[in-house]
Amino acid sequence: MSENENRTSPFRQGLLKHFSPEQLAKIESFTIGIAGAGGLGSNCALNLVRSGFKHFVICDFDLVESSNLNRQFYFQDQLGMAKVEALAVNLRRINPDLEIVALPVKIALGNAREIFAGCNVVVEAFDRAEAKRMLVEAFYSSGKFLVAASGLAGWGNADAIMTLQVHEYFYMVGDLVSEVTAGRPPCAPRVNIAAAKQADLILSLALKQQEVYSANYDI
Amino acid sequence: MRISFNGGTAYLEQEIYLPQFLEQKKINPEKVVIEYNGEIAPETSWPEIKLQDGDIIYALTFVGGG
Repeated sequence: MSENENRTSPFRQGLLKHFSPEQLAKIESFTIGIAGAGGLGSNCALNLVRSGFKHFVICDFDLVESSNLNRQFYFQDQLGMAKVEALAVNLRRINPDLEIVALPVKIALGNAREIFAGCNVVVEAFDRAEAKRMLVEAFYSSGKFLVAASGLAGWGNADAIMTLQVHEYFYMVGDLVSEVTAGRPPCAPRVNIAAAKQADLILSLALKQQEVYSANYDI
Repeated sequence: MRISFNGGTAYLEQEIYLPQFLEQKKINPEKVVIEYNGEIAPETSWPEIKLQDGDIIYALTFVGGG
């Protein structure tokens, strides 16, 4: 074992049982921006960290509430904490060597590009449709990869949650129609499926396999 | 006048601006991103976009949840 391998953490050693050093180097070279640390953002981050991504800019101004615990990557003893702080703690339990910029601020059209300026990929992980639209408008022609989500509420028909390529740099995950309503709450399985598909797409992009997602966007 | 809308064809009998077209299609302007002839059209530009024969429009509507 080389000196360099001796210094690598047990988590990273574990990753190297699955990835080649070249693959892991590609993954670790990415910086991921996550806009919203709710059901999509927290679970997408969890999947990305387990996949080896190390550099994150995570932005959300909410606090952890009891209604979040049905699907978001937080724990009961974190109620009242800023989500970005709680998420950084939880992600570092998986990999202590993460570099996370945790910003408890509100994202708007005026600051979105600045907040995520250093990121290769931006994950749209908001809950409100108006906010999703704002972020997509901000990054649509930015040259960054943008991975949005729309249509993940309720339960059942989980295979309808798809990955669509809207254009070269813009992908969308979801069934496009299942909106959160009084009778159709956001639940862990479908939210996690969407978040995991966002993460899988980013992993594929990092490993240059994005042609897997060549489905045409047509509504 | 004929335009392409979300991959299909739409026929317009008179000149119309984008906001009126979206209203006709019952599209909520607060939840939609418009791609107009291959480029994103920010909402601020919509009132100046008069639809022309051969235009290609995609309206990508978001639903809440996350």
